[in-house]
Amino acid sequence: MSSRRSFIKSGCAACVLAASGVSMLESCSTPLPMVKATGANAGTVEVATNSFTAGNMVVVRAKQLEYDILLIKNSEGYKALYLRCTHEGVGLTPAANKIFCSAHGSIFDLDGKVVKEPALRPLKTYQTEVIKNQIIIHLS
Amino acid sequence: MQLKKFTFIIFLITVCYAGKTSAQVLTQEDSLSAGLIYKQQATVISGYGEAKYSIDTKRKSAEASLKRVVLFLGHKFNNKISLFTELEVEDALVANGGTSSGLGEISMEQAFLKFNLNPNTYLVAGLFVPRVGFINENHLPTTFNGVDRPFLEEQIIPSTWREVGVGLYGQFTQIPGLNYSVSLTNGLNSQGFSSANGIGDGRQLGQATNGMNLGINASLLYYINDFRIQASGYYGGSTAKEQRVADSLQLSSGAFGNPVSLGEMNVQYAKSGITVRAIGTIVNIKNADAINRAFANNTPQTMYGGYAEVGYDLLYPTYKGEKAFILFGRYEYVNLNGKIPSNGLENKANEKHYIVAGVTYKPIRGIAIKGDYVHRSTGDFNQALVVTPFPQQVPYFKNNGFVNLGVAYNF
Repeated sequence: MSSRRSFIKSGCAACVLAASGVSMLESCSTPLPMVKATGANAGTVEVATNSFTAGNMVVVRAKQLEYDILLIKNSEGYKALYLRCTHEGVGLTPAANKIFCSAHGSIFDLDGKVVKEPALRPLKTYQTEVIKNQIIIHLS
Repeated sequence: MQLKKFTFIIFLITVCYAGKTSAQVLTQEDSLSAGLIYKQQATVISGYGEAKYSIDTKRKSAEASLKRVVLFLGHKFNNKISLFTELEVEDALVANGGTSSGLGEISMEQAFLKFNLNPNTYLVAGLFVPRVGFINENHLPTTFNGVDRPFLEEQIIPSTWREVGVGLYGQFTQIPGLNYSVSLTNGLNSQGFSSANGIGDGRQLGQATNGMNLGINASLLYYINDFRIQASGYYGGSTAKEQRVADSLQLSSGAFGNPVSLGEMNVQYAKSGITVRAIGTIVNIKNADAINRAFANNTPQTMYGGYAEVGYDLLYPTYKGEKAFILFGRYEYVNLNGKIPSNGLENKANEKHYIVAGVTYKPIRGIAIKGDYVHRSTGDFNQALVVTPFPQQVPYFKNNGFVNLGVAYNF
């Protein structure tokens, strides 16, 4: 009986600690904006050019894809990286200056190049073009 | 002539078709990574392995072994459901026909289905490795320094620790870089606990057959700038016996009977070829005395330890990680007998200090050639635990050194 009580107590304490930790982290970071993309057909995704509300990165979610796309605005235009680890196909975690795989520790830079294995191949990059304030991401 | 041309065309078509089929099945680029609806089904093969040569400088003995070869086979059924399997052969030879048998093992290291709830969140169900420490999930030999895995993550956190259950993994989208995991698996089997190997032999590894005990694992993993910070915890019952047997052994049963709790926190910093990592962990086995009474296995009540490692890639300024020559050093403290219950026997040999120094050379990503020297120092071996009569008793050296060489691959 006492073990159940102590388990509940320690569980509650852990929850409070976790919640306060999350709240602290939330206060010191800016979430990446996410847009749910539209597309005229299965082979393209469209994102409005004014979607970059905070910084130069947007996470694009498209129905036809398993994982999101990280769309990066740079001096040369737009770079669209598919957030799927090239090691075992797990979804990736984009952060301020790198992209991480939480499953096995692979790290990629914002060009999609491998920084740390086990992944050995760069991230898949989609071609982009801008037509009438819409960024067209070509999925094939 | 016409026939020759026709035959040549048929040959070309066959080669092209065979090449196309092979690429679809075997390469990651053309299969899982495609990710589009019209290419949803795909199969991936990859793997890793490592071999080791080790000299025990005090015993004047050496071992050469193919430590492990692991074959990964994954299949994506559609954008929502995938299968992940890893089949492992340890120490090369399991059976050699006839009556002889090898020292090796064959086991499933992972075999689970992954269900994507959305691009940031997924469920796994089956045999999988929970997120505990660095190595349990990130155990590919080309990704860590040292011929052997860090000793703490074999002896206190028993990597590779896998059990059958379900797990939820995801990211907090409001906080870029923050990941979480929660899992519910079968629990440990306290009958396998020991003073020398901790909870390692209590893992059930996908073959739990008795008891209602469960284990809960939760973790937070945060990537911020050049840091990776992780904290995780485990709490689980350890009576893997049906209630009738547990009662007769006077062990509390049920989901969390005779609980084992484990907590760990680890931090890694990596920038410009410099890598620093550190971990601390503690395990508490609350009713160790009851387990000792039931199984006479000298289960400790508390185990703890930590390590810190620093490495520098000399080739980083030129090759940016494409090639690497890493010099590293690590200090580890492992205490498997932090606290012993009243009916247990303390063995100071289970309090260990390791100093490891070595190199990891990576001519390309995916290949590692390793060499290191390990100095191990411990307390006195408790002679009361010696049950083997002289002269079979193996000499115990409180201070010992090991020279290790290894090769490893990952593809």
